[in-house]
Amino acid sequence: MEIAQIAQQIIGGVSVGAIYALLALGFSLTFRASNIVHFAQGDFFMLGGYAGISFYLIFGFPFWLAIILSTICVALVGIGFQKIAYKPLWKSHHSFVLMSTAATSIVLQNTASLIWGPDAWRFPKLFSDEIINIFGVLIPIETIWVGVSAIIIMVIFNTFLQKTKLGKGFRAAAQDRAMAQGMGVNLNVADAFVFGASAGLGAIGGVIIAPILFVTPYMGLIFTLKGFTAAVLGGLGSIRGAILGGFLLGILENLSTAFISSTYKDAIVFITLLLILLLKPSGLLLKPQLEKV
Amino acid sequence: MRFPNLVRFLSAIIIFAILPTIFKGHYWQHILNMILIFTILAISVNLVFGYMGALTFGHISIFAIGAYTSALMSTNFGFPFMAAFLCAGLSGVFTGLVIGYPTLKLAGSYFAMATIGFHKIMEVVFLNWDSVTGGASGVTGIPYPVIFGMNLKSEENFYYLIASVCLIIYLLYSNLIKSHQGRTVIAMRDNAIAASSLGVNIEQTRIFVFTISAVFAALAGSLYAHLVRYVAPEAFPLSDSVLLLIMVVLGGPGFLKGPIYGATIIVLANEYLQSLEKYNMLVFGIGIMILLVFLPSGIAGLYERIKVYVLNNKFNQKYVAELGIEEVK
Repeated sequence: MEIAQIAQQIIGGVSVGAIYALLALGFSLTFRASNIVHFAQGDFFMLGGYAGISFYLIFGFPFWLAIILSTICVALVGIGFQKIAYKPLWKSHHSFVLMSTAATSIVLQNTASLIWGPDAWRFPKLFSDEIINIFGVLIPIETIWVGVSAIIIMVIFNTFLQKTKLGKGFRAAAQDRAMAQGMGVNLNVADAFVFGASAGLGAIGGVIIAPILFVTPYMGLIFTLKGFTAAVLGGLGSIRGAILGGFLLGILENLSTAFISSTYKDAIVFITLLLILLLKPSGLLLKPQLEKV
Repeated sequence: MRFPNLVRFLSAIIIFAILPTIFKGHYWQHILNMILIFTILAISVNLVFGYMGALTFGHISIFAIGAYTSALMSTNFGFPFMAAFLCAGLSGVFTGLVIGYPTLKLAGSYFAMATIGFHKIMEVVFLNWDSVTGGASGVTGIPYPVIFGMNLKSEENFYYLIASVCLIIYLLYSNLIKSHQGRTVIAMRDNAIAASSLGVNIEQTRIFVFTISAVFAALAGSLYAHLVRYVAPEAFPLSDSVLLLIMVVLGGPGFLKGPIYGATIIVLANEYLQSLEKYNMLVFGIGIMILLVFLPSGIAGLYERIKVYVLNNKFNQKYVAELGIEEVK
């Protein structure tokens, strides 16, 4: 294998990895705030893809408006499930909340399959099929688009969390609820923000990648798993870790497809997950810490 | 080893003996057998989800591993049923240790996701390891089990085998829960830090209970393989793992008899909801949410609550305390 080919795989990996990073970011947000893993993360991703297709194809909105509208819609769905299904369970054993998020995933999958049918939908081509050639490294334009837009969204989101007063308040609420409330953070708004933002981030990923991928009602699960693997790789609960983990996982997946076989592509991702859990469960960026009970 | 209450034990045997005479015909026999197999599976999930407080999606894969092991042993090597059954149990021990060791020391969320990953890995293995598992077409021609010279060809004869295995597993399971280990597991679920400060080795106990539950699931798999006599990857979808969890939640997680109620109702409901086709899983999904919010301790919990309520009115408080009612936190 030549160096140019390896470089090509790595660049392809970075662009897929940007999507995984968006999903991982959603996982980290909800995990920091409520110590649970949101199983429906990949299904919000799927829902985003479908919403984007509906707004763009059926209602005829321009693409940028379709992205914004579908993000808002899916975020509202996420907030709705938080209010109906998770909030009443807050005081019970955490496995019940986990179970409830898994139920959300089932409900979303089957609702999507009722609304849009069980067959795959495809977004029309938005970007040209052109392939750029840089020193023998072939890069399709659409993968660059996907990667760049995902990175821009992550930068905006990170800036919001780190720099603005509202974002700081939400981060404080994730760290110590009682103290944050004492300082004037509205916990209801903070919870809604966390679940809405994580659903919305998933949805953005779904809309952005829809022109490359087929959208099917049951595609969510595999993306849930990959997003989670990416989040754990970087350190579940860490924002920077989620982004790093996403890119690493994308590159790893692409290289393993090129070197081993595409049949075992998914299995390799999950073996990576089991290995991280065995060797360094706190991830690459976080220090090992005791289990919270 | 505690011995069961003789009256209850005998009445359970009598109920098992009477059931096939009430539900006659091939169809009902098959449903009875499936209820019993799913009861064993629900018991194994209840150990992990109800008593240990860890969400698992991997039990259907362990079930599949047991089924494949048993099927391959009896078709390729000509093992008699008993030997294949024991091999399936051993495969359960092995799988339980392999999954349990890396994942059980972690918090619940990681464990749940790792079990989904495990299910996906096993799906790929079953589909692509053609030379052993037969790929997508699976393993066919699994012989009827022969026990003590009896050939269990009909569903009815098979029923007695499954019923006795189910009864033995239920006894083992209730013994485990009432034993030192079982009390330890419940204490860990309710407060892990307090339990560990009292000298409980959390990781070891979790692995122990998980491995036992894996053995139960694998044994159920062996029974399933010989009942259906055909094992293929699509017989073990992830949605069945969700179904198992619904059984446990409906029956009452952390209650001894919960899995029996849950498995019976869900297997029957699944038969009748087949006509809904598309809405089937949607109904189950919304059903879990409603159950979790309004009836988190399931049917068994409701029954206990009614019992306490009735007894409270009839007798004094002391009598209620003696019952030792288990409440899910």
